[in-house]
Amino acid sequence: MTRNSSVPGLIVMAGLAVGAWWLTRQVAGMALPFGIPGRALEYPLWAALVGLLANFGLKRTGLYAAVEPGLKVELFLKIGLVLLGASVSLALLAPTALGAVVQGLVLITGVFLFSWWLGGRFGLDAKLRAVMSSAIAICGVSAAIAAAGSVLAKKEQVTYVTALVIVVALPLMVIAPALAGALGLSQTVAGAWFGGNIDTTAAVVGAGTLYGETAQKVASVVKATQNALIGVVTFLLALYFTVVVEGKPGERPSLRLVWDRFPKFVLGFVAASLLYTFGLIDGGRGTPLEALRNWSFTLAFVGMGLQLSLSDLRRMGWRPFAVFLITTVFNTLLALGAAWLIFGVWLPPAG
Amino acid sequence: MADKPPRPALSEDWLAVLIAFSLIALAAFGVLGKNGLNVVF
Repeated sequence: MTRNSSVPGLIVMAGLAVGAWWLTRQVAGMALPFGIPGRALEYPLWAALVGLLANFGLKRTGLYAAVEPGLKVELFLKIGLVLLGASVSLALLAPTALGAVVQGLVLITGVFLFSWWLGGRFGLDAKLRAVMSSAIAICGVSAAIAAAGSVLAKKEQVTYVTALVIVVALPLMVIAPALAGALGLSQTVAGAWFGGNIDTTAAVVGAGTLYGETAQKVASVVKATQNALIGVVTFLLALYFTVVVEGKPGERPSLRLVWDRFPKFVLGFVAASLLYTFGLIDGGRGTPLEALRNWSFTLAFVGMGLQLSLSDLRRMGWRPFAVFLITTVFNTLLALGAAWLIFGVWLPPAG
Repeated sequence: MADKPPRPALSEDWLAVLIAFSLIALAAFGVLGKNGLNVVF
């Protein structure tokens, strides 16, 4: 086994996922304090918590470096999302995707420009502003990596933003569904809100799962649509940095960048949804595909807890942290308004 | 001696699609399910 082998990490993730599953089943039958039914605390919560605890344990014992190469969070998340497509009919996908494109354009533009402006007021470096603004406005870690490639940001800027994304997304995964419940939001509006508000796709799926089945589907479709717009944003960023920041007006990034950055798993999601709509496959409730999807998501949530790095946060001081938090509040409010207008008023509720 | 051409790498996105559709195919053909390997959650 090589030094950078993924095997130890995958074994640890699998063991922790089974632990989180067992914990979920134990708690489901309990009546918790304050009248909270155990069933309300679903698997994303336990998986992230188990991952966090293991994260601290592995770091204290010096074993983390051996596990790190195998933390394939994005891979398991994408497998889960394609499998989720096998339970989403076109009747839900088409109107949700239409609303998601409109919402995505409003949020990406509004949140990106706000974050960019605020980062400038706080004196942040242009590349860090670009990476951070993309992460908050589009889809967390993968947007940060894509934007970093476009503007040639430093590696530590990407790891810093990645840590920020996870540290903010984990509590939001629990707080957002609780707030949506307190506000009495429908499954559709709540799902659209989670998809537009929470940065990282894993936490979006987690929040949706905690709120309900339709919320999980709507949140996933909204986030996947927003993910799909990443190519356009990274192309525009590359163009801006080449022409304006670096002052090379004769050079232009290739339009191929839009396709290169396009998240191809979205095509798998749509293909699975088409097969489900035409009755060729079934990933609905009680099917093996539903079980496999839940296992994939559990592995992703465990990995999200395992990936959190607080030491990366200490390096850059309070300014980027403040910009990230203020923009997240702005994003939360703008996404709530947009989700309510688009999915509560303009489009009929999806079934 | 000519260099070997680099092996084309499968991106994480396509790998996820490949794994997911392999699972979908196994479920569709009954390998996964009540009459085969019954995966539960």
